[in-house]
Amino acid sequence: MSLQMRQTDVACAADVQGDHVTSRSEASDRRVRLIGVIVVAALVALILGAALWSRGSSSGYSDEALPQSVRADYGVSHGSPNQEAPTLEVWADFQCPACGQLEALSGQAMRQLSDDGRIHLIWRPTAFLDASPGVRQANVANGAPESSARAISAWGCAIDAGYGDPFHESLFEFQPTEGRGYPDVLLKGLGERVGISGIAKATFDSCIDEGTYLGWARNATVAFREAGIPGTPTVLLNGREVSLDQAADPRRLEELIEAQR
Amino acid sequence: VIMTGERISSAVLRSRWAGTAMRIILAGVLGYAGLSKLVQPDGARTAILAYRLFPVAWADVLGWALPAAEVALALLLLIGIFVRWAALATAVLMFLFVAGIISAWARGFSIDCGCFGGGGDLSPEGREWRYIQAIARDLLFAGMAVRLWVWTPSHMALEAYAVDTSLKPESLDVPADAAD
Repeated sequence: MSLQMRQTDVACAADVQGDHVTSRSEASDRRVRLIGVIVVAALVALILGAALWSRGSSSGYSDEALPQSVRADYGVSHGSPNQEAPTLEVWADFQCPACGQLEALSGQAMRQLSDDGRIHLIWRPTAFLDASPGVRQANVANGAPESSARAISAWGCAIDAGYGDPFHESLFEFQPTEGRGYPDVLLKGLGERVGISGIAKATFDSCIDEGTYLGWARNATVAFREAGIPGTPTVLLNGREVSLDQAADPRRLEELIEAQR
Repeated sequence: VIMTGERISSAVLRSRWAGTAMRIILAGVLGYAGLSKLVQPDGARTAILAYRLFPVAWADVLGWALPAAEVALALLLLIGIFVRWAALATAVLMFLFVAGIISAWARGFSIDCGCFGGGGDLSPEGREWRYIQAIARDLLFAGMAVRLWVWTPSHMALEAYAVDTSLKPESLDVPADAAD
Protein backbone atom coordinates (compact mmCIF):
# COMPACT_ATOMS: atom_id res chain seq x y z
CA MET A 1 0.00 0.00 0.00
CA SER A 2 1.94 3.01 -1.20
CA LEU A 3 -0.16 6.10 -1.02
CA GLN A 4 1.93 8.40 -3.18
CA MET A 5 -0.60 11.15 -3.73
CA ARG A 6 1.32 14.36 -3.46
CA GLN A 7 -0.19 17.77 -2.87
CA THR A 8 0.02 18.71 -6.54
CA ASP A 9 -2.08 15.75 -7.49
CA VAL A 10 -5.14 17.53 -6.20
CA ALA A 11 -5.67 18.66 -9.76
CA CYS A 12 -5.58 15.06 -10.84
CA ALA A 13 -8.77 13.57 -12.15
CA ALA A 14 -9.61 9.95 -11.77
CA ASP A 15 -12.32 8.26 -13.75
CA VAL A 16 -13.34 5.17 -11.88
CA GLN A 17 -16.57 4.68 -13.76
CA GLY A 18 -16.56 1.36 -15.50
CA ASP A 19 -13.54 -0.88 -15.27
CA HIS A 20 -10.87 1.51 -16.47
CA VAL A 21 -9.08 4.14 -14.56
CA THR A 22 -7.67 7.21 -16.23
CA SER A 23 -5.66 9.67 -14.32
CA ARG A 24 -4.21 12.77 -15.82
CA SER A 25 -3.47 16.24 -14.60
CA GLU A 26 -4.80 19.27 -16.42
CA ALA A 27 -1.25 20.46 -16.95
CA SER A 28 -0.30 17.32 -18.85
CA ASP A 29 -3.53 17.57 -20.81
CA ARG A 30 -2.62 21.08 -21.89
CA ARG A 31 0.76 19.76 -22.97
CA VAL A 32 -0.88 16.99 -25.01
CA ARG A 33 -3.08 19.53 -26.76
CA LEU A 34 -0.20 21.90 -27.41
CA ILE A 35 2.05 19.22 -28.89
CA GLY A 36 -0.90 17.80 -30.84
CA VAL A 37 -1.75 21.16 -32.38
CA ILE A 38 1.87 21.75 -33.34
CA VAL A 39 2.07 18.33 -34.98
CA VAL A 40 -1.23 18.87 -36.83
CA ALA A 41 -0.17 22.34 -38.00
CA ALA A 42 3.19 21.00 -39.18
CA LEU A 43 1.55 18.14 -41.08
CA VAL A 44 -0.97 20.42 -42.76
CA ALA A 45 1.77 22.89 -43.70
CA LEU A 46 3.83 20.03 -45.12
CA ILE A 47 0.94 18.63 -47.20
CA LEU A 48 -0.10 22.09 -48.41
CA GLY A 49 3.50 22.94 -49.26
CA ALA A 50 3.91 19.71 -51.21
CA ALA A 51 0.66 20.38 -53.11
CA LEU A 52 1.68 23.94 -54.01
CA TRP A 53 5.19 22.85 -54.92
CA SER A 54 4.07 19.98 -57.17
CA ARG A 55 1.81 22.39 -59.02
CA GLY A 56 5.09 23.61 -60.50
CA SER A 57 5.57 26.61 -62.71
CA SER A 58 2.52 25.95 -64.85
CA SER A 59 1.10 29.37 -64.07
CA GLY A 60 2.01 32.46 -65.99
CA TYR A 61 2.19 33.41 -69.64
CA SER A 62 5.18 32.75 -71.84
CA ASP A 63 6.20 34.12 -75.20
CA GLU A 64 5.01 31.54 -77.72
CA ALA A 65 4.34 31.17 -81.42
CA LEU A 66 0.73 31.88 -82.36
CA PRO A 67 -1.16 30.82 -85.48
CA GLN A 68 -2.21 33.56 -87.89
CA SER A 69 -5.12 35.69 -86.73
CA VAL A 70 -5.19 34.43 -83.16
CA ARG A 71 -6.27 37.26 -80.91
CA ALA A 72 -4.11 38.83 -78.20
CA ASP A 73 -6.35 37.14 -75.61
CA TYR A 74 -5.53 33.77 -77.29
CA GLY A 75 -9.08 33.43 -78.62
CA VAL A 76 -10.02 32.89 -82.27
CA SER A 77 -12.57 35.08 -84.01
CA HIS A 78 -14.88 33.24 -86.38
CA GLY A 79 -14.84 34.43 -89.99
CA SER A 80 -14.37 38.16 -90.60
CA PRO A 81 -16.08 39.50 -87.52
CA ASN A 82 -18.43 42.44 -87.29
CA GLN A 83 -16.63 44.43 -84.59
CA GLU A 84 -19.81 46.35 -83.77
CA ALA A 85 -21.86 43.26 -82.98
CA PRO A 86 -22.26 41.85 -79.46
CA THR A 87 -19.44 39.44 -78.63
CA LEU A 88 -20.28 35.82 -77.98
CA GLU A 89 -17.36 34.03 -76.35
CA VAL A 90 -17.46 30.24 -76.16
CA TRP A 91 -14.96 28.71 -73.72
CA ALA A 92 -14.39 25.06 -74.52
CA ASP A 93 -11.98 22.19 -74.05
CA PHE A 94 -11.93 19.88 -77.05
CA GLN A 95 -12.06 16.87 -74.73
CA CYS A 96 -15.10 18.05 -72.77
CA PRO A 97 -18.23 16.05 -73.66
CA ALA A 98 -20.62 18.86 -72.75
CA CYS A 99 -18.68 21.14 -75.12
CA GLY A 100 -19.25 18.60 -77.88
CA GLN A 101 -22.96 18.55 -77.06
CA LEU A 102 -23.18 22.35 -77.10
CA GLU A 103 -21.38 22.41 -80.43
CA ALA A 104 -23.77 19.81 -81.83
CA LEU A 105 -26.83 21.72 -80.64
CA SER A 106 -25.83 25.34 -81.24
CA GLY A 107 -22.54 25.40 -83.18
CA GLN A 108 -24.20 25.74 -86.56
CA ALA A 109 -26.54 28.49 -85.33
CA MET A 110 -23.65 30.43 -83.78
CA ARG A 111 -21.63 30.30 -86.99
CA GLN A 112 -24.68 31.45 -88.95
CA LEU A 113 -25.29 34.37 -86.58
CA SER A 114 -21.64 35.30 -86.99
CA ASP A 115 -21.78 35.05 -90.79
CA ASP A 116 -24.84 37.32 -90.72
CA GLY A 117 -22.84 39.87 -88.72
CA ARG A 118 -25.23 39.67 -85.78
CA ILE A 119 -22.57 38.51 -83.33
CA HIS A 120 -18.83 38.59 -83.04
CA LEU A 121 -18.17 34.91 -82.29
CA ILE A 122 -14.95 34.22 -80.39
CA TRP A 123 -13.79 30.70 -79.62
CA ARG A 124 -11.79 30.59 -76.41
CA PRO A 125 -9.86 27.32 -76.19
CA THR A 126 -8.57 25.86 -72.94
CA ALA A 127 -6.66 22.68 -72.12
CA PHE A 128 -7.64 22.58 -68.47
CA LEU A 129 -8.76 18.94 -68.67
CA ASP A 130 -5.16 17.89 -69.30
CA ALA A 131 -4.55 18.70 -65.64
CA SER A 132 -7.43 16.57 -64.41
CA PRO A 133 -5.92 13.37 -62.93
CA GLY A 134 -8.58 11.04 -64.36
CA VAL A 135 -8.38 12.43 -67.88
CA ARG A 136 -4.59 12.56 -67.74
CA GLN A 137 -4.35 8.87 -66.82
CA ALA A 138 -6.84 7.79 -69.47
CA ASN A 139 -5.06 9.91 -72.10
CA VAL A 140 -1.72 8.32 -71.29
CA ALA A 141 -3.21 4.82 -71.26
CA ASN A 142 -4.55 5.46 -74.74
CA GLY A 143 -1.26 6.79 -76.07
CA ALA A 144 -2.62 10.32 -76.42
CA PRO A 145 -1.22 12.31 -73.48
CA GLU A 146 -2.24 15.97 -73.07
CA SER A 147 -4.90 15.58 -75.72
CA SER A 148 -6.61 18.90 -75.05
CA ALA A 149 -3.40 20.84 -75.67
CA ARG A 150 -2.48 18.77 -78.73
CA ALA A 151 -5.96 19.25 -80.18
CA ILE A 152 -5.59 23.03 -79.76
CA SER A 153 -2.11 22.93 -81.31
CA ALA A 154 -3.43 20.90 -84.26
CA TRP A 155 -6.24 23.43 -84.66
CA GLY A 156 -3.55 26.10 -84.89
CA CYS A 157 -1.84 24.10 -87.65
CA ALA A 158 -5.19 23.89 -89.47
CA ILE A 159 -5.72 27.64 -89.07
CA ASP A 160 -2.34 28.23 -90.74
CA ALA A 161 -3.43 25.92 -93.56
CA GLY A 162 -6.61 27.96 -93.97
CA TYR A 163 -8.93 25.29 -92.61
CA GLY A 164 -9.47 26.54 -89.09
CA ASP A 165 -13.28 26.56 -89.06
CA PRO A 166 -13.94 23.11 -90.54
CA PHE A 167 -11.18 21.60 -88.42
CA HIS A 168 -12.67 23.12 -85.26
CA GLU A 169 -16.01 21.62 -86.25
CA SER A 170 -14.60 18.17 -86.96
CA LEU A 171 -12.63 18.06 -83.68
CA PHE A 172 -15.98 18.13 -81.92
CA GLU A 173 -17.74 15.95 -84.46
CA PHE A 174 -15.17 13.19 -83.99
CA GLN A 175 -14.60 13.85 -80.31
CA PRO A 176 -13.41 10.62 -78.66
CA THR A 177 -15.11 9.45 -75.46
CA GLU A 178 -13.82 11.53 -72.56
CA GLY A 179 -10.34 10.46 -71.60
CA ARG A 180 -9.54 8.49 -74.74
CA GLY A 181 -8.06 11.61 -76.23
CA TYR A 182 -6.91 12.59 -79.71
CA PRO A 183 -4.01 10.44 -80.94
CA ASP A 184 -1.85 12.22 -83.54
CA VAL A 185 -3.11 9.87 -86.27
CA LEU A 186 -6.66 11.00 -85.58
CA LEU A 187 -5.66 14.69 -85.71
CA LYS A 188 -3.83 14.17 -89.00
CA GLY A 189 -6.76 12.18 -90.37
CA LEU A 190 -9.17 14.98 -89.49
CA GLY A 191 -6.91 17.40 -91.39
CA GLU A 192 -7.16 15.22 -94.46
CA ARG A 193 -10.90 14.93 -94.00
CA VAL A 194 -11.48 18.69 -93.98
CA GLY A 195 -9.50 18.99 -97.20
CA ILE A 196 -5.90 19.84 -96.32
CA SER A 197 -3.84 18.20 -99.05
CA GLY A 198 -0.56 18.21 -100.94
CA ILE A 199 2.32 20.28 -99.60
CA ALA A 200 -0.02 21.98 -97.13
CA LYS A 201 -0.82 18.55 -95.67
CA ALA A 202 2.87 17.76 -95.21
CA THR A 203 3.34 21.10 -93.43
CA PHE A 204 0.23 20.42 -91.35
CA ASP A 205 1.48 16.97 -90.32
CA SER A 206 4.93 18.20 -89.31
CA CYS A 207 3.29 21.10 -87.45
CA ILE A 208 1.40 18.48 -85.42
CA ASP A 209 4.49 16.34 -84.90
CA GLU A 210 6.47 19.32 -83.66
CA GLY A 211 3.68 20.53 -81.39
CA THR A 212 4.21 23.99 -82.85
CA TYR A 213 1.30 25.59 -81.01
CA LEU A 214 1.38 23.79 -77.67
CA GLY A 215 2.56 27.10 -76.20
CA TRP A 216 -0.61 28.75 -77.49
CA ALA A 217 -2.63 26.07 -75.67
CA ARG A 218 -0.68 26.78 -72.46
CA ASN A 219 -1.24 30.52 -72.69
CA ALA A 220 -4.91 30.07 -73.54
CA THR A 221 -5.28 27.90 -70.44
CA VAL A 222 -3.59 30.54 -68.27
CA ALA A 223 -6.08 33.06 -69.69
CA PHE A 224 -8.90 30.64 -68.80
CA ARG A 225 -7.73 30.45 -65.19
CA GLU A 226 -7.10 34.16 -64.87
CA ALA A 227 -10.57 34.91 -66.18
CA GLY A 228 -11.96 32.64 -63.46
CA ILE A 229 -14.06 30.65 -65.90
CA PRO A 230 -15.87 28.08 -63.76
CA GLY A 231 -15.78 25.24 -66.26
CA THR A 232 -16.49 24.34 -69.84
CA PRO A 233 -18.50 25.02 -71.79
CA THR A 234 -19.00 28.59 -70.64
CA VAL A 235 -20.74 31.02 -72.96
CA LEU A 236 -20.39 34.77 -72.42
CA LEU A 237 -22.52 37.32 -74.22
CA ASN A 238 -20.82 40.71 -73.98
CA GLY A 239 -18.92 39.30 -71.01
CA ARG A 240 -21.98 38.08 -69.12
CA GLU A 241 -22.56 34.39 -68.62
CA VAL A 242 -25.37 32.77 -70.57
CA SER A 243 -26.94 29.70 -68.97
CA LEU A 244 -26.25 26.49 -70.86
CA ASP A 245 -29.98 25.84 -71.22
CA GLN A 246 -30.17 29.07 -73.21
CA ALA A 247 -26.90 28.59 -75.08
CA ALA A 248 -27.86 25.08 -76.19
CA ASP A 249 -31.19 26.29 -77.62
CA PRO A 250 -30.57 28.30 -80.82
CA ARG A 251 -33.94 30.05 -80.65
CA ARG A 252 -33.48 31.27 -77.08
CA LEU A 253 -29.88 32.22 -77.81
CA GLU A 254 -31.06 34.35 -80.74
CA GLU A 255 -33.65 36.06 -78.53
CA LEU A 256 -30.95 36.89 -76.00
CA ILE A 257 -28.71 38.31 -78.70
CA GLU A 258 -31.56 40.41 -80.10
CA ALA A 259 -32.18 41.79 -76.63
CA GLN A 260 -28.55 43.02 -76.59
CA ARG A 261 -28.94 45.30 -79.56
CA VAL B 1 -34.70 -4.74 -16.80
CA ILE B 2 -36.35 -4.48 -20.20
CA MET B 3 -34.98 -1.68 -22.31
CA THR B 4 -37.13 -0.24 -25.04
CA GLY B 5 -35.68 -0.01 -28.54
CA GLU B 6 -35.55 3.72 -28.16
CA ARG B 7 -33.50 3.55 -25.00
CA ILE B 8 -31.11 1.04 -26.48
CA SER B 9 -30.53 3.13 -29.60
CA SER B 10 -30.14 6.25 -27.50
CA ALA B 11 -27.59 4.44 -25.32
CA VAL B 12 -25.71 3.25 -28.39
CA LEU B 13 -25.82 6.72 -29.91
CA ARG B 14 -24.43 8.33 -26.78
CA SER B 15 -21.86 5.65 -26.08
CA ARG B 16 -18.18 6.53 -26.12
CA TRP B 17 -17.49 3.95 -28.78
CA ALA B 18 -20.11 5.63 -30.99
CA GLY B 19 -18.20 8.85 -30.42
CA THR B 20 -14.96 7.15 -31.42
CA ALA B 21 -16.59 5.71 -34.55
CA MET B 22 -17.95 9.10 -35.58
CA ARG B 23 -14.56 10.74 -35.04
CA ILE B 24 -12.95 8.15 -37.30
CA ILE B 25 -15.65 8.38 -39.97
CA LEU B 26 -15.58 12.19 -40.04
CA ALA B 27 -11.77 12.19 -40.04
CA GLY B 28 -11.80 9.77 -42.98
CA VAL B 29 -14.34 11.80 -44.94
CA LEU B 30 -12.65 15.15 -44.28
CA GLY B 31 -9.17 13.76 -44.89
CA TYR B 32 -10.18 12.17 -48.17
CA ALA B 33 -12.10 15.29 -49.25
CA GLY B 34 -9.16 17.54 -48.41
CA LEU B 35 -6.46 15.42 -50.01
CA SER B 36 -8.43 14.75 -53.18
CA LYS B 37 -8.66 18.53 -53.62
CA LEU B 38 -5.02 19.16 -52.75
CA VAL B 39 -3.70 16.74 -55.40
CA GLN B 40 -5.40 18.82 -58.09
CA PRO B 41 -3.25 21.46 -59.77
CA ASP B 42 -5.63 24.22 -58.71
CA GLY B 43 -6.82 22.81 -55.41
CA ALA B 44 -10.53 23.41 -55.07
CA ARG B 45 -10.40 26.63 -57.12
CA THR B 46 -12.35 25.34 -60.12
CA ALA B 47 -14.96 23.71 -57.88
CA ILE B 48 -15.40 26.91 -55.87
CA LEU B 49 -15.67 29.08 -58.98
CA ALA B 50 -18.44 26.84 -60.29
CA TYR B 51 -20.66 27.98 -57.40
CA ARG B 52 -20.39 31.58 -58.71
CA LEU B 53 -20.41 32.84 -55.13
CA PHE B 54 -16.89 34.24 -54.78
CA PRO B 55 -14.75 36.52 -56.93
CA VAL B 56 -11.70 34.98 -58.62
CA ALA B 57 -9.28 36.44 -56.06
CA TRP B 58 -11.17 34.74 -53.23
CA ALA B 59 -11.31 31.45 -55.10
CA ASP B 60 -7.53 31.56 -55.54
CA VAL B 61 -7.09 31.56 -51.75
CA LEU B 62 -10.08 29.43 -50.76
CA GLY B 63 -9.04 26.83 -53.31
CA TRP B 64 -6.12 25.96 -51.04
CA ALA B 65 -7.43 27.12 -47.67
CA LEU B 66 -10.56 24.97 -47.75
CA PRO B 67 -8.84 21.61 -48.35
CA ALA B 68 -6.10 22.53 -45.85
CA ALA B 69 -8.78 23.25 -43.24
CA GLU B 70 -10.46 19.94 -44.03
CA VAL B 71 -7.21 18.04 -43.51
CA ALA B 72 -6.53 19.93 -40.27
CA LEU B 73 -9.99 19.09 -38.90
CA ALA B 74 -9.51 15.47 -39.94
CA LEU B 75 -6.24 15.23 -38.00
CA LEU B 76 -7.70 16.89 -34.89
CA LEU B 77 -10.64 14.48 -34.88
CA LEU B 78 -8.45 11.49 -35.59
CA ILE B 79 -5.97 12.01 -32.77
CA GLY B 80 -8.63 13.43 -30.50
CA ILE B 81 -7.64 16.92 -29.46
CA PHE B 82 -9.98 19.92 -29.43
CA VAL B 83 -12.61 17.39 -30.48
CA ARG B 84 -15.52 19.55 -29.40
CA TRP B 85 -14.38 22.55 -31.42
CA ALA B 86 -13.32 20.49 -34.40
CA ALA B 87 -16.78 18.89 -34.37
CA LEU B 88 -18.44 22.31 -34.25
CA ALA B 89 -16.29 23.59 -37.12
CA THR B 90 -17.09 20.45 -39.12
CA ALA B 91 -20.81 20.90 -38.56
CA VAL B 92 -20.64 24.56 -39.63
CA LEU B 93 -18.61 23.61 -42.72
CA MET B 94 -21.12 20.92 -43.70
CA PHE B 95 -24.07 23.30 -43.30
CA LEU B 96 -22.22 25.87 -45.45
CA PHE B 97 -21.68 23.19 -48.12
CA VAL B 98 -25.38 22.35 -48.05
CA ALA B 99 -26.27 26.05 -48.36
CA GLY B 100 -23.86 26.38 -51.30
CA ILE B 101 -25.33 23.40 -53.12
CA ILE B 102 -28.90 24.59 -52.58
CA SER B 103 -27.95 28.06 -53.79
CA ALA B 104 -26.31 26.68 -56.96
CA TRP B 105 -29.36 24.49 -57.55
CA ALA B 106 -31.79 27.36 -56.96
CA ARG B 107 -29.92 29.58 -59.42
CA GLY B 108 -30.18 26.87 -62.06
CA PHE B 109 -26.53 25.84 -62.36
CA SER B 110 -25.62 22.23 -63.08
CA ILE B 111 -22.37 21.81 -61.22
CA ASP B 112 -20.27 19.08 -59.75
CA CYS B 113 -20.33 19.78 -56.01
CA GLY B 114 -16.56 19.28 -56.00
CA CYS B 115 -16.91 17.65 -52.60
CA PHE B 116 -14.18 15.11 -53.26
CA GLY B 117 -12.14 16.83 -55.91
CA GLY B 118 -13.37 17.53 -59.40
CA GLY B 119 -15.82 20.37 -59.71
CA GLY B 120 -16.97 22.66 -62.46
CA ASP B 121 -20.00 22.49 -64.68
CA LEU B 122 -21.75 19.28 -65.62
CA SER B 123 -24.57 18.48 -67.99
CA PRO B 124 -28.00 19.27 -66.56
CA GLU B 125 -29.04 15.60 -66.89
CA GLY B 126 -29.65 14.02 -63.51
CA ARG B 127 -28.62 17.12 -61.63
CA GLU B 128 -31.53 16.88 -59.13
CA TRP B 129 -30.42 13.44 -58.04
CA ARG B 130 -26.79 14.53 -57.82
CA TYR B 131 -27.71 17.52 -55.66
CA ILE B 132 -30.00 15.47 -53.43
CA GLN B 133 -27.26 12.89 -52.85
CA ALA B 134 -24.67 15.53 -52.02
CA ILE B 135 -27.03 17.35 -49.64
CA ALA B 136 -28.11 14.13 -47.90
CA ARG B 137 -24.50 13.07 -47.47
CA ASP B 138 -23.43 16.42 -46.05
CA LEU B 139 -26.41 16.49 -43.68
CA LEU B 140 -25.49 13.02 -42.42
CA PHE B 141 -21.94 14.19 -41.69
CA ALA B 142 -23.30 17.37 -40.11
CA GLY B 143 -25.48 15.19 -37.87
CA MET B 144 -22.46 13.19 -36.72
CA ALA B 145 -20.52 16.38 -36.05
CA VAL B 146 -23.38 17.86 -34.01
CA ARG B 147 -23.60 14.61 -32.04
CA LEU B 148 -19.86 14.87 -31.26
CA TRP B 149 -20.26 18.48 -30.26
CA VAL B 150 -23.05 17.64 -27.83
CA TRP B 151 -21.57 14.39 -26.42
CA THR B 152 -17.86 14.82 -26.85
CA PRO B 153 -16.39 12.03 -24.66
CA SER B 154 -15.09 9.10 -26.63
CA HIS B 155 -12.52 6.36 -26.38
CA MET B 156 -9.08 6.52 -27.97
CA ALA B 157 -8.70 10.29 -27.80
CA LEU B 158 -5.49 12.03 -26.77
CA GLU B 159 -7.02 14.82 -24.78
CA ALA B 160 -8.47 13.98 -21.38
CA TYR B 161 -11.53 16.12 -21.90
CA ALA B 162 -12.58 14.03 -24.88
CA VAL B 163 -11.93 10.86 -22.89
CA ASP B 164 -13.85 11.76 -19.77
CA THR B 165 -15.96 14.67 -18.68
CA SER B 166 -15.20 13.93 -15.06
CA LEU B 167 -12.52 16.62 -14.95
CA LYS B 168 -14.59 18.28 -12.28
CA PRO B 169 -13.85 18.82 -8.59
CA GLU B 170 -16.54 16.37 -7.42
CA SER B 171 -14.82 13.48 -9.14
CA LEU B 172 -11.80 14.00 -6.93
CA ASP B 173 -13.20 12.07 -4.02
CA VAL B 174 -11.41 8.96 -5.13
CA PRO B 175 -12.24 5.77 -3.27
CA ALA B 176 -9.26 4.76 -1.15
CA ASP B 177 -8.66 1.44 -2.90
CA ALA B 178 -8.41 3.15 -6.28
CA ALA B 179 -5.25 4.94 -5.18
CA ASP B 180 -3.32 1.71 -4.59
